[in-house]
Amino acid sequence: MPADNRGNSESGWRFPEVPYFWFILPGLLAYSILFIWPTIRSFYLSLYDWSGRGPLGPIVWEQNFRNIVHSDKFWQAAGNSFKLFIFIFIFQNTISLGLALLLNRGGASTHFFRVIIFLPQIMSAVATGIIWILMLDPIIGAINPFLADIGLESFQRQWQSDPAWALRTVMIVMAWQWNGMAVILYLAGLQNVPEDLRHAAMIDGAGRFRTFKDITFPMLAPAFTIVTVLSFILIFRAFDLIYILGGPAGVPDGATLVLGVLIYSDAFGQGAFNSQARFSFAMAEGVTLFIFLAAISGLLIWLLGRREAAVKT
Amino acid sequence: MSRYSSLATHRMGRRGLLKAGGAMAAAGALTPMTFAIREAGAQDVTTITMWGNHPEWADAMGEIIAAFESVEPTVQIDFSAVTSDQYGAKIQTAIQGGETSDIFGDQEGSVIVRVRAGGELPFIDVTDRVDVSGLTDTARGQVEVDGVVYGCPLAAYTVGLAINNQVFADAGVVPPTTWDELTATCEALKSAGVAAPIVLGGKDWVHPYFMYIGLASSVLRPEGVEAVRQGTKSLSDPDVVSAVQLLVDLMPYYNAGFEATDYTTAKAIFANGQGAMMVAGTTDYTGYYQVNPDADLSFVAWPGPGPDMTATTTGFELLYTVSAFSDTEKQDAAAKFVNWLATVEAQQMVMDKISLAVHKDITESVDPIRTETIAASRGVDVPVWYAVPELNGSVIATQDNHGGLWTGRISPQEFSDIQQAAVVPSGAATPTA
Repeated sequence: MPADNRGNSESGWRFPEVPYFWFILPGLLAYSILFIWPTIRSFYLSLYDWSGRGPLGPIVWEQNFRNIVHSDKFWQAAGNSFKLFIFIFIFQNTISLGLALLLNRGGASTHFFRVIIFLPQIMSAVATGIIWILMLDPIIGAINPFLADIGLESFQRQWQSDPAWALRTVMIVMAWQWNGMAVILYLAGLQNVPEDLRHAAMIDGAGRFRTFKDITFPMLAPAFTIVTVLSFILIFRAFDLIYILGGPAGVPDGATLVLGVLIYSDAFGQGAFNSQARFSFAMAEGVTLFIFLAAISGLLIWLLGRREAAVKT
Repeated sequence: MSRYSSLATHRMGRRGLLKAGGAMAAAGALTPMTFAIREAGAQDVTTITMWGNHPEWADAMGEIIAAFESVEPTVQIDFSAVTSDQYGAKIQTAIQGGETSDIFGDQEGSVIVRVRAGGELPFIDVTDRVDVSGLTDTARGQVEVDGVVYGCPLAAYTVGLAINNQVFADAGVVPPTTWDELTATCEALKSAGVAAPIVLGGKDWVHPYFMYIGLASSVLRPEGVEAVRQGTKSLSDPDVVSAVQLLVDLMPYYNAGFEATDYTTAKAIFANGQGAMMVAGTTDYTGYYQVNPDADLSFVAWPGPGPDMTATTTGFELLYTVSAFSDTEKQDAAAKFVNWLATVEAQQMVMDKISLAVHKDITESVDPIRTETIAASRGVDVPVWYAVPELNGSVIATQDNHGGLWTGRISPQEFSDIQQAAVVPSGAATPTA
């Protein structure tokens, strides 16, 4: 009997898929217990007044969500997250894409530079955050003296405490960390662009820029979709590196506060004596963020998917 | 030939059979003995966990724990520590997850607040197991609520100004005793090229808070603090607001980028001689000397608004209690340690190795800084505000608003109004504003 037909029973159950089901079952169970169930549970808890311990308080969902709408901190954090995403989006589609194009040209040191560029991505965010803090410190840091040594004294800043520069500093550090992911994704995309198409365009007289604009970049549509959607989700829920750089309050005075840090601070307090943990309020913030991310990500995937389809045709 | 088939076809000789039999017999004889040893070990030694919030005390804590284990060999303590700024978040998360260390270190003031708030407590009643009769009254007040004992403070500390003697000597100035002298000294130090006349770690609330309550306490004095607790004096009054104004006026003399400088980095800046003064508790000195063993440091009280108005604030290190989340065996072991911590023997070690003792019979230390601290705190001394239930909200008020003070988003008067709004005067159930 041909293998393809073995599972065609009257009930519609495809027998050949059964072994795969058992293979994925442990992972599926773990994922359900550790991710899906807590997510569903957080929707439930966001309806109540609960500090995180003891019995649930009364249902106050309306108050929780109304407080979010009227919370200056929430909108400040949302605004910072949005600015961060815009910066990372532009960075990844200029600098990261440019680096991917350079690496795609090959050469003896290509592998070395790939490793160097991807390294920040796999390093501990806490460790890199602490190293950045030390480097950026105006008194004991290395960056300001380095700028002075190369004659750029005017570029010296109080990187983390100047309200005008604190978020920009976080943006630079985040871009450094996430650059590797975008470069690798674009590099994978570039390696799928048929060489004969590019050659044909060049034979027809197209220059390098024209070939990139009309052939290479459109063919990178799937990679562009992945980079954009991933960056959007990762930036809006970013926590670890930004928490290390800006602390629970997003110093100075909330200038580096982003949604991930705000939710954590509300859930667990700011690490202070008798911090007021507002777990259910933090859950409501998390639910709001979840819905926002799901909606915008869905929209992005739909829009960019249409663009991919247009490129294919 | 595969390994499987090789083993399957192997014929064991007579000698081999004897060897195997002997080995099995020996193993059979030893096995019950092994289990017996393991079982005895498991019964005799109970290993419990304990968290601390000063990694720089790891060696001293190790010696204190070793001394306890020598008198109580059936208990073994696995101690680990994180920095103070991480400890609060760690303990909050652990309480919410029901996974604290067996010896549960709560922060000062928290035992009273948790007990008064009612509901499920993260620690247990140890009235019959921990003898706190030898503790000072203020120490006892931190862990004994309505006649029920919940634990023992590790140590006390007094907060004032740490002075880097070498930096002062190089600049030709002496420690200030009044606010005017403080400003003049800062100016002199700055003129002498000192990078940070005052070192402040403003990334979290700790340093700004202690500077605020230290300067404000020098205005209020103990009787003023008591009046605020009773509701007859306000933190919004002009004399107290002047302390906040001084905090802002001193900004040119703080370390560059102080708003984003964390506690640990600030300590390093000071200990390495790039700063002249720094808000400091008794317990901070261990950390300073760890950064720079050659540092020449001393301790003075907070300058006051006028002559003879210096003041200190005194509080407590972690209040060690017995975790409600541990099993009975571990709770018993943890209670033995907490009880031992309240003894003269343990507290003398604390006084010599960590900070100020909480036992009333101990007044001397081998550490000269602690001697200076004791001398300074014998003047005007005020309890740290967060250890007082009525003023406990001052921490969150500072935590949420000190950043606005530095950027100018809120004025000293507004900051003071927020502080006053967080006060819960005795008898009042809710904040006053």
